Amino acid sequence: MGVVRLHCVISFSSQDEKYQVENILNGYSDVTTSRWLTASSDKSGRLEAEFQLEKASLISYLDIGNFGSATVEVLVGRSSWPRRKEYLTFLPTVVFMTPTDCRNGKNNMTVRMFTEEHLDKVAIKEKWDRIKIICCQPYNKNLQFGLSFLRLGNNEDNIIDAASENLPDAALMDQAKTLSTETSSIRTSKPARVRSLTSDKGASRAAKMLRAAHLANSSTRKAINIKKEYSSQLNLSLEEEALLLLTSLESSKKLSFKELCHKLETKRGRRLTCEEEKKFMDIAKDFGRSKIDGEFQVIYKESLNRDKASSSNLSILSQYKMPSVSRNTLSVVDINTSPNKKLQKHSSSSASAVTSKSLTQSAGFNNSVCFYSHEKSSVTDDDYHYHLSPEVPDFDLCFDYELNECNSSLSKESSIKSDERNNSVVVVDPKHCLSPPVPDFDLSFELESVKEESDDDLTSSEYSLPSKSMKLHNYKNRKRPTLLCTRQGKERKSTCVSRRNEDDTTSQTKNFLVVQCPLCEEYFPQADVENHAAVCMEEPNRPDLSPHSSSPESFVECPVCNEIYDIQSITSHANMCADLVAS
Amino acid sequence: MGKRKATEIDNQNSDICDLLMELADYEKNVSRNIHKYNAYRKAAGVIGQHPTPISNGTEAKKLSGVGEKIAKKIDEFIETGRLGKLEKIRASDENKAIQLLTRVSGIGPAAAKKLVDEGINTIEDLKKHQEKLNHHQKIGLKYFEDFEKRIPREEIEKLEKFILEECKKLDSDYIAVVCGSYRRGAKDSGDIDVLITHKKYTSKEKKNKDGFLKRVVERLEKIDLITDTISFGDTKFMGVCHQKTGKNSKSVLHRRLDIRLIPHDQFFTGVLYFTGSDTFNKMMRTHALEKGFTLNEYTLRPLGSTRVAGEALPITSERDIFEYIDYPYKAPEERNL
Repeated sequence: MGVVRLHCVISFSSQDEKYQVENILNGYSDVTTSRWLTASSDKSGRLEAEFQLEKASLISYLDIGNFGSATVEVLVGRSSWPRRKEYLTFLPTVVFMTPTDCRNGKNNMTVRMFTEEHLDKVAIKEKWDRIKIICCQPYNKNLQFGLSFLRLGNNEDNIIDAASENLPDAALMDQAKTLSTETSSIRTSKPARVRSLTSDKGASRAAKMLRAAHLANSSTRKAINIKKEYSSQLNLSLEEEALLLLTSLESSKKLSFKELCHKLETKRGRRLTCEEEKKFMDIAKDFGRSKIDGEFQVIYKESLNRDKASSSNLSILSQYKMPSVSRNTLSVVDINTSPNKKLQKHSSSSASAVTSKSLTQSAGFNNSVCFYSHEKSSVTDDDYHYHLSPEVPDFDLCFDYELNECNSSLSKESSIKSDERNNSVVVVDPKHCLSPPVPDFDLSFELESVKEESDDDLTSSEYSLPSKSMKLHNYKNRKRPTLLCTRQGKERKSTCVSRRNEDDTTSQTKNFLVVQCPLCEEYFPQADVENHAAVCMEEPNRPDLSPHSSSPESFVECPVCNEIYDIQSITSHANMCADLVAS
Repeated sequence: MGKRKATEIDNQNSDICDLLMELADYEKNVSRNIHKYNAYRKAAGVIGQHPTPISNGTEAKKLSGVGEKIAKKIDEFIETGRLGKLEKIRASDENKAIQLLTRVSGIGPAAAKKLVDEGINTIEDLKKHQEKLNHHQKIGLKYFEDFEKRIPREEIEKLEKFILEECKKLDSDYIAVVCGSYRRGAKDSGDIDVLITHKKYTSKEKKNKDGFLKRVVERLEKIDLITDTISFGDTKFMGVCHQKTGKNSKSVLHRRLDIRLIPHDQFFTGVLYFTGSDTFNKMMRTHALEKGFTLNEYTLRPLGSTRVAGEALPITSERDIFEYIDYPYKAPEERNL
């Protein structure tokens, strides 16, 4: 999983004095200056360039930021090919602007994100080290046009390469270097802050963990094993026992949650309480996910703090080193269901709950950590806090988590199925008989929490979910991180999906597929992400949604585009947004 | 597409055109050589457009589409007032019978030839041997006289309004347009070709396909507009309609009615295609190719440097298509080529 870098420019048809073709190599660091345009004297209406990639790579997605081109085409080739050999079509000609747009100079900075479904089915399976971009603008010969950025990436599993190469990856070193600076820690935690607006500490913690993981990565590359650490617990806790049980079950393929419960009950010699059963279900799901990365190191850090008299706190913090997650180092979804508590209160409790950290991660190569934390307080005060990476390309994960008004969901059956062939685990909530194990990759993660009262508005803004409905079929092949959020009247759902069966869309609910913006790495509803990226590009210096300075209350919905912005930046954004709409 | 073309208005060379069209029909129906048919038709079209009467073959040869052989035939016709080849064709009873039978809806050149070989030479013979006919041909025979009659523009106008109203009663998201020569402003037409679409029916959603057309057809059957069904699939209905009129007006004939369901995102390419004329469509496509696009009844797509067609362009009107391929917009009435 990673960004495919452009190494150099082989040739180009023309370039502007200021906006040179080399700018495209810089990626998207500063989009206002890094565009590449035709020379003002070039009236051919066609702009071409060939780039050398750093190494022959698979390319599984493309993000293109347009600047005034009507159509863009991407071809691939190899440097070893004879000169005469024509490049192969990789991205068949796509349209960025209609003739009317071109003549009026409207919508000239759109961003489009292309995945497998857009790309050539054959070419996508091979590695390429050359790409050629052809931009056309036949409708308005007086405009200078070109691209504002080009970004290539793949879902390649680099871990094997790393083991064999034994060379420090440039990208990783970069990342490690940048991580040592304060600014970069914010940058890497960017995805973390996406929707974890409620827990600023959580985000910075995520950054720290990420950093620690990177340092550990660059220094040690040990064999992959599963390690467990228990914190100050004399007796085996429910969690520990559950984990032991689950690890002992590795060979068996399919077990329903009930069966698992029964096993645990026999092991413990007594029936599980409702609460325990629920915890066990969580653990099972965590385990399911950890099993997905299977061979990879998993550290369970459990701090158990049981105080039944007042309120019990349980925090399970599990960290996974994902093998091939590098594009979006960290992605976080937060769900807060606090009927009686204010959100702030929640965030403080969440911060305190996750106190223990231990990072001795080794093995694994890419510059990323997939981070998951789950905490929970008592039955009366349910604070659910999830950090998870939805981007896990190599397995199926279908996770449906549901909480009902009276926590009655405990009785619901849940089963864990693991499909060994695909190295995949599917955790299913069979209440709806949800997705059977799908033969190819499928990750769908669903969190549902029902029970929304006083803080409905607040939480809705927290998710940044405009109240439009969306379908998700288009993105079913998208392996880049996506989230699906569903809203249902007063209830609300947050679903995180990176490819789902079409069938399991709940019919009466409104669904939102949330996709990461290629520029700011934040999540936006699928329908809006490309629009957002266009705006994002125009104003990259927009006041940052820094997790350190913001509390949930300080986020407001833009009245025009329904996206969530920091209260400090909303005025400027809304003005701009309104201008955009007006123009 | 009807079997016969409406003759051009203000045609200075209508006699030559008729001659060529007769040859064209012969090539299509009897010799079954579609290329010769197209060649004669093209020549007839270009001569029909010629502003002045043509005096000899050499003059005609200068026009694109008229070659040496056609020029010779024109010379022969102008000099002698007749054409040997045509005389021969006209003289043959078999040819006559085949030409006659092909006038029945559903009987093509091949079926006609087969029937003639079996000794069926007239419509009366056909009526006696209905067992040789399929469902479509039976209906064609049943309404043979009606289908021969041209449909006046006013009648189609009324029908279009009526169908649209009925669709809107079902669901306001339906759109219905009558294409073909009617849309090109013809005074009368051979059949009625209706395109319908629904905002919720797009090319991406393969499911639900049957529902949209079925609802419309069932509705039209219920109110006795549709009298017969020739074929009825998910996206295309072929049948017969009959408009009920007041007592006073002359009885309205049965008409051939086609209804096609087109995905909403492909509606305008569909409308363009089914409006024709087919010669105009060919020109459009050729022009599109020159400009680096590929155009068909479904989509307009840009061609890449390797001639690979790209994604379908978003199209919101017929005008969009002209704009994309940089072709001056032609109103439907201007597409009678």
